[in-house]
Amino acid sequence: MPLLEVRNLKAYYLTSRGPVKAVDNVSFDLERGESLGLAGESGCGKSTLGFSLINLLPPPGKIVDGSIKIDGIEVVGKPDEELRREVRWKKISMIFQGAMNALNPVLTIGDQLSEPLIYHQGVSKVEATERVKEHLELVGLDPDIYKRYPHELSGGMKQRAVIAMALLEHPDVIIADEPTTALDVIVQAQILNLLKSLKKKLNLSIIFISHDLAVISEIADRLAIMYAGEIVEIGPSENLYLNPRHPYTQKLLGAIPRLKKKVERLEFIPGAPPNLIHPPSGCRFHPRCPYRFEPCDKEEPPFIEVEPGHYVRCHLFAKR
Amino acid sequence: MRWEDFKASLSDFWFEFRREKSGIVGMVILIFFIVLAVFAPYIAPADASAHWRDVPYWQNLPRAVPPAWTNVFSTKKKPPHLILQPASTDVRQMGQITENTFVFEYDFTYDDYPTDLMLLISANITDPAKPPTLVLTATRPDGTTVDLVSTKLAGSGVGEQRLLISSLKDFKARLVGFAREYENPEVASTLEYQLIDPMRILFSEAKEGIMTAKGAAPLKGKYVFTAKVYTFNPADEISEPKLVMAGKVYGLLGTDTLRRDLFSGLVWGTRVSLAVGIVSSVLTTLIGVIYGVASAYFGGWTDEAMQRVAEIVASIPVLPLLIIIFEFYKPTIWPVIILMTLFSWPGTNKVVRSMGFQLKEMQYVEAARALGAGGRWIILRHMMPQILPYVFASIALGVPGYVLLEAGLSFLGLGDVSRVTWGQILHDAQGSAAALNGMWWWVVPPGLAIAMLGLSFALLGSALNKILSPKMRTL
Amino acid sequence: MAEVVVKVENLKKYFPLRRSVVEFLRGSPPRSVKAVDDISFEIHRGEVFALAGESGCGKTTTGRLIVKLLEPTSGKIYFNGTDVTTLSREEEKEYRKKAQIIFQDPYGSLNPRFRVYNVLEEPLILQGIGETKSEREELIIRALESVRMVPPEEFLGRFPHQLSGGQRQRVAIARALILNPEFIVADEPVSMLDLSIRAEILNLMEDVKKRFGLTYLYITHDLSTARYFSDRIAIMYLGKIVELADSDTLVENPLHPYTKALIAAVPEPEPSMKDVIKEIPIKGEVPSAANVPPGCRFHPRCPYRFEPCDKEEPPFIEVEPGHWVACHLYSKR
Repeated sequence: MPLLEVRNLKAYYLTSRGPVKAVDNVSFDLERGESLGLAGESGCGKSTLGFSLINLLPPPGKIVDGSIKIDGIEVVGKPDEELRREVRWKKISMIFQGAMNALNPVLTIGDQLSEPLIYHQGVSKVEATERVKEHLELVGLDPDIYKRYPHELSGGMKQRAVIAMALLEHPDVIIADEPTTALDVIVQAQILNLLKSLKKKLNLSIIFISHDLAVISEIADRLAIMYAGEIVEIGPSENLYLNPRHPYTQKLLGAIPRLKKKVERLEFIPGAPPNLIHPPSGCRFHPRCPYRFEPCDKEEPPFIEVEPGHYVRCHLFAKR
Repeated sequence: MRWEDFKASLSDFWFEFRREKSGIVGMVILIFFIVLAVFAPYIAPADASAHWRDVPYWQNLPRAVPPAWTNVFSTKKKPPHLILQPASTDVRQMGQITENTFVFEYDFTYDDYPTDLMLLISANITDPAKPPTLVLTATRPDGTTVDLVSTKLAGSGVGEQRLLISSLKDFKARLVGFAREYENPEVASTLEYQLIDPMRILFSEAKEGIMTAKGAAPLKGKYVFTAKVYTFNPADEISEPKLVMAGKVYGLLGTDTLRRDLFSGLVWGTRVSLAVGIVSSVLTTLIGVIYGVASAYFGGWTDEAMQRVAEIVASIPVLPLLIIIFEFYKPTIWPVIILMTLFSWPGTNKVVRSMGFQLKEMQYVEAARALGAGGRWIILRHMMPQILPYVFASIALGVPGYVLLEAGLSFLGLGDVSRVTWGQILHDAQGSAAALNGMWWWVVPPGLAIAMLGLSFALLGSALNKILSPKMRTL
Repeated sequence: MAEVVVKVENLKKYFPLRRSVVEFLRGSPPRSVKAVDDISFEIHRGEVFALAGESGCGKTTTGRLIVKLLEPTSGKIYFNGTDVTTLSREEEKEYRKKAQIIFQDPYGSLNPRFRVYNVLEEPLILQGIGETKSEREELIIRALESVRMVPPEEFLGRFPHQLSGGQRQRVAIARALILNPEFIVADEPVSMLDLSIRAEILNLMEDVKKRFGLTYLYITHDLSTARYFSDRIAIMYLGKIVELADSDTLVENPLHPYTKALIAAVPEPEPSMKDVIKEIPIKGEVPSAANVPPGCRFHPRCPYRFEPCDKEEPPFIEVEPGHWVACHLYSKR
């Protein structure tokens, strides 16, 4: 049984102008110790998916349908009180985007990290301090950081502290939402190294959300590409990076400038991602797709397994 | 700043505003007051405000009576204030003497007596040595006739004369004489003359108790008053007689001890209060905005100096200072407004300055500078349109403060005495210990009006804040 | 050698720090952030010159100094041979026509209350170009066409929030182009755009460069786009240029230890690095520019540091033609 099993998940933002279908019919599995990269452009629903998994969708967001099973526990529809006691932070936790800049400036790192342990877990103060220091060391920080305030730390150190915070209650799955986006490239590499080693050391499952396919390639065992609320392609990283099937994935990879390879002219995808209140009919990518043909604007493409474990949502691969 | 910017921010703003219920409530209250203020000359007597301090102007009204609608809540109907026009007029010439007869009819259906009886009359007397004589008689519903008074009118000049008949000695003496016929003589002889109310005798059943109101109920029915005015010179003219039955209730909001109609005062006071509130708030906000934007735009030492000045001004205690100034110098409304604004702008300045600093760092401002834009262009085209929504909110939130400040000054007797304001009505009420004497109609309405006007702007302002604060974050 | 458009000489920009009351009373000397500390370089006509480095290295400040959004503390900036640090008001206005800037944030660089028409009319009004309204409209339409916003009429009446990120950035480019400049500072023009349109904007900038004979100063933290887009790259660290070479040489044969580390840290979209803990040769993070280390400012993090590094500032030397580096490892002694 996979550690995380997501089936037909739909998470909408119920706005006055109609539901924004930010996550629409998303299914995937995640095994223990596996890392899944979740890539897509801004507004594709990747962060919404992350928030849905930990059941912390900001209003007016709501999971309207589907199932999320974490370690066999069904999360959708579970009362918040139980979720907090059994699942959130214990089975699954999240490194929020920009969390390092949201640390409370008037509390020491130690206080901020130990507070949830003391208040939610009933851990004694001494024990909490002990555990926080342990975790600070785990993420490569000096345990003395415990007494420091956020402004005394560099960006990389703050991000490490945030990672330590997500690990405090020993979750099986950790969702990292753009954890390196605000960081400089050297610090980014350091944080990626940290996540890699944590994954190995703790047998951690990671969902790594990013817009940057180059960063994701450093860590993801499998890669899912999201477009307009849907997963359009998912499969082992090697297959996706080296042999992408979906036109969107192909174009996206073709748009990345390489440092170590001279590219004469980069590709780009004309147009802009669609409005998620009224997504295009049929395949959501068809208005921007260079290969579109007759069924694309009418029928929704099926999710097709093109090789073991590699699925594509595209009519080009549908047997007819 | 172009008109288009102004229009755009206004329409954005209205779109958001419509959804704020509290704001709409505030708006409705405010519109009510604005209507009162604008139409004051039509709602209340047009010259009431100008004559607020003119005691004789109000003499035709009853003294310190509650509003007429209090009758609805009381089983004892009190007579309202009535001004009777003659039902019939007759002139007879008898040689040199002219007899003018005026007949007034009064339907008395109340459980209490009018407070006073007055005769208003225009007389044009040619010879002051021969003043006209007035003889007033009353025929009561029971058929009895009482001679009320026989007196001389004032003997000189032209113009309206006002005779407070019910306070004439003659009037009282005659009515007491009339009452003695019915009253228990024992009671009559022990009664202190001072305490006898002639008006009560006039309007009571003719039986025992007429002098004390014990046992004798008010005599309801039609009273006919006949006023005969004799003039002794053919050239003398008598016209426009009116008989005033000073009631025990008056108008919408009653009267004060100077017989002033409080409704008129309140309506006219709306004008001043609104004007003072809005003008002061607009002026303060304008000064604050211009000062703040300039301070932010120039930055550096200029900003430093301008802010220290603003802080010094802000630290001056306004109310005590105004009290001292106005103690020596009786102000009119404009100095009050100007002095209030002169000390209140630093707050707006601080907020606008911080917004200005944010705006100044916006990339589109930098882009404009890179294109060669100068200070004027950047302030007017790029900064002001963004600050404008805040300006609206700031004006709205500022108004109640000034209404209260003006009321406070007036209450302390330091306001503009040439106009009526809510604060002055309260000041006068305080002076006459209105609250202690149960004259609630003198205290509650102006107090309530101040509170409601404040509330309306507070509601508006809070709605504005709700609308604008998320936007401010996106600045 | 190609004609020099911009020449920067010993340029410095220090931002003074406020002293606290205690510092003031103690009489401690005023401190400052040395955002740009004595840099010199030349930009040739028709080239894309990239200034790359991590946040806080002074690259953005340099760009703003060149287009005169900031006044330098000292040093000279020559534009076509004229010193632009001492211009009269009139000359400055004239200079702004020739040197323009494109900003990073397509959301922040357009006034939310301006329609596209107003955005593009602003430079014309400010510079007094176009006598009549129809003349200006003609120019505006041409500018929109040149950034491939077609049909232009469709966009004239739109507000920025009615445009996509890429369209906004194109309007920003059009605003810079409308004055017919020779030189444009592009300050991270694509870093806030989605991947799929980044290339579109870079390609567009490349095309208008060819069409209008422009010269760019491309400021970025992203070495990959710098290599793709620019002819030469200068790496900045704490207010100094540490290495300067043509793009290919710099990426393929970096000399400075810092450049080497930067290049090693850039991820490639290839799954081969998965699970490999990358060797990053340098430790820690960039210190604050208010507290610059003595000697070579990179020495506390440098794995190769030796005796002179913490004392002497390394000279900027040309190791091979066109390849400059500021490192004691390469200085002849």
